[in-house]
Amino acid sequence: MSEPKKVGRRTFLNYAIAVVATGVIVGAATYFAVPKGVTTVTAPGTTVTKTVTTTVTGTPTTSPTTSPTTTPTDPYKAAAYQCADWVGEDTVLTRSQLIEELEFFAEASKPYRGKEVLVMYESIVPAEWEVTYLGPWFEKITGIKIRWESMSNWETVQKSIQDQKTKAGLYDVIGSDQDMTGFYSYYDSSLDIDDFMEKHPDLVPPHFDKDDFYVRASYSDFKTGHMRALLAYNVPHGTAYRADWFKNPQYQQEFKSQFGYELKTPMEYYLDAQKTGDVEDDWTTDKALDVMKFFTRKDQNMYGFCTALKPGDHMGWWVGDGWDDVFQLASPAPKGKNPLDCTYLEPVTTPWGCHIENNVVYGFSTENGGTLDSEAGQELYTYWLNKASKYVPDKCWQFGVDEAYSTVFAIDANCAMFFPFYCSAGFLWNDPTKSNIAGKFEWGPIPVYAKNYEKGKPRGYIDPSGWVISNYTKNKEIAWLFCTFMTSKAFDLKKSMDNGTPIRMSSLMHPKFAAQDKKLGGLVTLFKNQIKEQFGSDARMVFYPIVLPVAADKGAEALQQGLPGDKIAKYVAKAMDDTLKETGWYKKSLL
Amino acid sequence: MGLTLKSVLKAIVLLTVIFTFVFPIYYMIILSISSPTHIPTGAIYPDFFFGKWYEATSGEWARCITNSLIICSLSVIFNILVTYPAGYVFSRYTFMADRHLFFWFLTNRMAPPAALIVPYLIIWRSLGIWDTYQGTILAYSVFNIPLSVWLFTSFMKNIPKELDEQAFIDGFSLLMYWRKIFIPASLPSIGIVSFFIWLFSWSEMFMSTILTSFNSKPINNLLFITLGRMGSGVEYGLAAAVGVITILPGLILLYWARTFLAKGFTFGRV
Amino acid sequence: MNKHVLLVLPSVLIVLFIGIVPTICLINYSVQNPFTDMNAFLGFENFRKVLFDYRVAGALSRNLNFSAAALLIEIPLGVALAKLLYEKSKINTIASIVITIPVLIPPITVGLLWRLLIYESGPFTKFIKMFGIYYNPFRDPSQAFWTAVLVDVWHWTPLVVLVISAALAGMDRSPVLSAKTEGATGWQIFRFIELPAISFPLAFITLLRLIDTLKVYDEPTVMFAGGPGLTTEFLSLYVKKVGIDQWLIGYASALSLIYNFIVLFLCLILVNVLTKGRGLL
Repeated sequence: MSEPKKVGRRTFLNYAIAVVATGVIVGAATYFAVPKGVTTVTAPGTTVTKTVTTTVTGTPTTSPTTSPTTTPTDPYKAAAYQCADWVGEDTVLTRSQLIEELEFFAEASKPYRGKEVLVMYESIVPAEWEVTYLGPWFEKITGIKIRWESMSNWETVQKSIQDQKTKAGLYDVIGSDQDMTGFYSYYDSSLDIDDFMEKHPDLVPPHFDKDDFYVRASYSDFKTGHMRALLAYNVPHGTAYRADWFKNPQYQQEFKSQFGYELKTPMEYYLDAQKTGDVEDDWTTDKALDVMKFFTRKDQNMYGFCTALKPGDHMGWWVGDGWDDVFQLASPAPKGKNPLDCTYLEPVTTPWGCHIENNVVYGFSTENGGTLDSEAGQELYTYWLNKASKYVPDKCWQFGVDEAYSTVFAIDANCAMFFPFYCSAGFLWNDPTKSNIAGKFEWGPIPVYAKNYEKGKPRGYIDPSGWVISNYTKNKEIAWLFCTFMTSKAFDLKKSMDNGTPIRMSSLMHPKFAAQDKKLGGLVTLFKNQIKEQFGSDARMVFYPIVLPVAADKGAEALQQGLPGDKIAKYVAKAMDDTLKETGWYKKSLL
Repeated sequence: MGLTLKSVLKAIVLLTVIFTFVFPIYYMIILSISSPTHIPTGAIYPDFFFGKWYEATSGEWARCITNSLIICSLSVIFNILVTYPAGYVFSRYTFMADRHLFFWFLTNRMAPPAALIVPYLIIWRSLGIWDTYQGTILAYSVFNIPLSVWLFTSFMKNIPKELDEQAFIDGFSLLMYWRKIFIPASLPSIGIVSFFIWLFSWSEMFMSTILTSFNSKPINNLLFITLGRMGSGVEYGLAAAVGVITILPGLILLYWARTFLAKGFTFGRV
Repeated sequence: MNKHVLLVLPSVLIVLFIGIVPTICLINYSVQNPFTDMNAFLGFENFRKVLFDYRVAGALSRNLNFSAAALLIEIPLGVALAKLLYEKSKINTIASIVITIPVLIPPITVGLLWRLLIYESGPFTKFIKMFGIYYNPFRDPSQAFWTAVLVDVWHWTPLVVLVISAALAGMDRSPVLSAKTEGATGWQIFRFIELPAISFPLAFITLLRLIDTLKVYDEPTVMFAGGPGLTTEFLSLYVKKVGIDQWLIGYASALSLIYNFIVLFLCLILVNVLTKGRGLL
């Protein structure tokens, strides 16, 4: 091979300096010249025409067509009438109220026709229902295009943090996870709904009825009490159980002779206790253990319980969501109030039994006044990982929560019950192509740890996903119209009948929703009886994203090492408190 | 060819190896046509449920697959345009610090993606190229350019310098020389480089979660949904259906690139 | 002719922009605690924390073991396969195309596919049980580790096969023929003639795989999400947890810089060993 040409040193030096200088200048310029508030440059996109996919289950309710007496010429108003026809009788509003509400949207959106709203949401079934049905109606009535971005639950949390921290204004509307409320309010990255409604009274729909949202407290600012998001889907926690096993007279007889008391359904026990006022009559963790023992017959491929025992991520959020309410780690609500109506609890709150008093953060371990490693907290881990784990199929040791309920409980169908879990998940179990327990399961309240029980303490975690309007967006009015449309009284009953996640008291109390009780596995009964005792995440848990990975990792690590339940509780609580100290949250005031 | 012990042994080993590579692919095809109640039983035959294929080819999924195709193809074109000249220079000329520059190129491939994400998000956002095709392609260049410069340089070294000198003596300009002589001679390298760039752009998952949203979301991102949807659990069938669909473009490219690969991957000797 | 050197400019500029600028950004973040209320100049505090973090040490050692195991399996296996599939025949052509399919599957699908295979009811577990081994990678850390290695081998060996078989195809066959007539064995031909001839492509693919296994993230995370407990938590997953989940950007930036430096260092060693000090150019 011949020699490559040698370039002259001097000329090379000139060029090299020129290149490096250009590069550095270009680099520095782009890094420091950060123009504020750059709007998204969107590539020319296509209109979102959603076709009906198989993810939407449940038969959409048909509506009788009532033709209006006059057809308006304005295409948007005409669309409003068509939408009213589509809703038909499945609404809590009268016909004239319905038209009034929908026409409002057609009118109020006049200045915004042709604009876009960028929405991010978690792709769960109620959300997909909205994308399929409500999205196109919104576009027809208001002329505003919706850009839906679907993602997994984990991604929604991450992207919302990114949006908040970098203040980049990535989205107009964020379908947020309820645990992030405190985080948004504290950093003022979510729109203050009450303030907005005061400033823009002309943009408030006539039947908005703010007080009709029955889980407002979870999404309110702890300082002002103002709402910070509009609720989208409310999903309470409960016990899923095999009604065909619990109600089988032969099993009931056997149980009575073996244990000395009646085998009833969790809801029946709960109602008994409401009458007698004695927690021992209630659906307690001890009773649950007896039932587990009773139904575990390995030779018949029957097991008493199903849970997720893989040392994985759910060791963090599942304890913070439901298990801490089973073991009653939080303080009770103030006298005369329900947990559901409280924005925060004092002195100890959930998730994870954190001690926050007078708006100062202390910690999770008993040293700092928390309850995560108290006697109840230790019993939490022991009960879940050491006692109840004896009555689960071997498979459960390999699964996280998603697969435990969808694969083992719903498809293998060999377990008696599953708790604590989201009641709406069961909605899909009525589909025979997706589960083998269609028509065989029901919902009841979660069990409580009798020793630590006190009336007024949260019993169950209600997980309201909400539409948060980002404070960094330029399109707040458009985002507001979008959110109010999705959560409007006009649609909530229809949505609830198809999906089982009502957000308004009016839908909850409507006879048409009650008629679905059997189909939804007793969900309506659960809502009506027990919903007030449920609680979301404390609105002062501002540091939730910082401690969640620690809870998950340390829990998983401890489980893998084979530590007994009480030691796991101590290990996790200490690690979480250390994290609070390292990141400066310990003894920090939230005001 | 007679049946010697050696050839029989060779056949057995070959078949075993092929089986290990192929069985999971067969299983993936089975999964894509099995219903959700059938998959957990661990059966290795399907029950012919086509709902997941229907879902994987409609609406959002089809759009994201198209996005992936566009991003990867444009990535290939962009990278070849930019790095082909660089390969030419590195293979022909030595200049001060050329070896260091070359190695510096390579170090950019070594950056772990988690490290680059926050700076990219802020910078891309402020430049207005967040969630666009051009932004994603530019970000992918951080690992594509080093690779293609490396490959081009090594291939072009095999083309003798005399060709250049002869052409320039004959009065060819650089562009004409390229068009008439050099590019046809280096076609194998272009084929190989395009396959590699396609492959690595297609497999990239992490950076795209940060840099894309609605408009340019590649299919790898949307697949996150299959990891856990409340109510449906983990969507194995859907992920498998998407997997089967997305093999096809790569296979086509591979078939085309094979003709170039057959010509040889010689870089000279060490 | 010297003006032709300017042709390298577009690549250099682009890589400067997307390479150097984020690095400056990272250095900037690593000496503070950005995006928090307690932002202050910390000097080397973050770096000190990284060096003493037991999780970093664990993740790093796992990463190094993983790279070593994966490379030691993939490269010889790939070369052997390339030799097996070398002769032109119908079967070999089909086999070599089919074998390349694993490389083209998106990482999440690979992860989910293998997750199903290694469940208790999965085909792979049943297969292993035939040999009498109790296989539960979701509880046993070493089984999880080796399963991750197996999946990486399955996914990326075809790339090695592709490169090496192309290298063998382009090799000059005349020394092989003359060696055969002199009665050299297959192994001797391989060791003394073929291996040096394909040494550069071999170095190329080895270095490429080294870099990619040191950065591995997709497949082990989808399958195990850090493994039983924290036992397959590789360094990229830890950086993601600290940086993206907890948003402790200062610490994550320091960790990324150290991580980048380690990869660089190892690659430098490998390059010098493989090219006998001559460098890549």
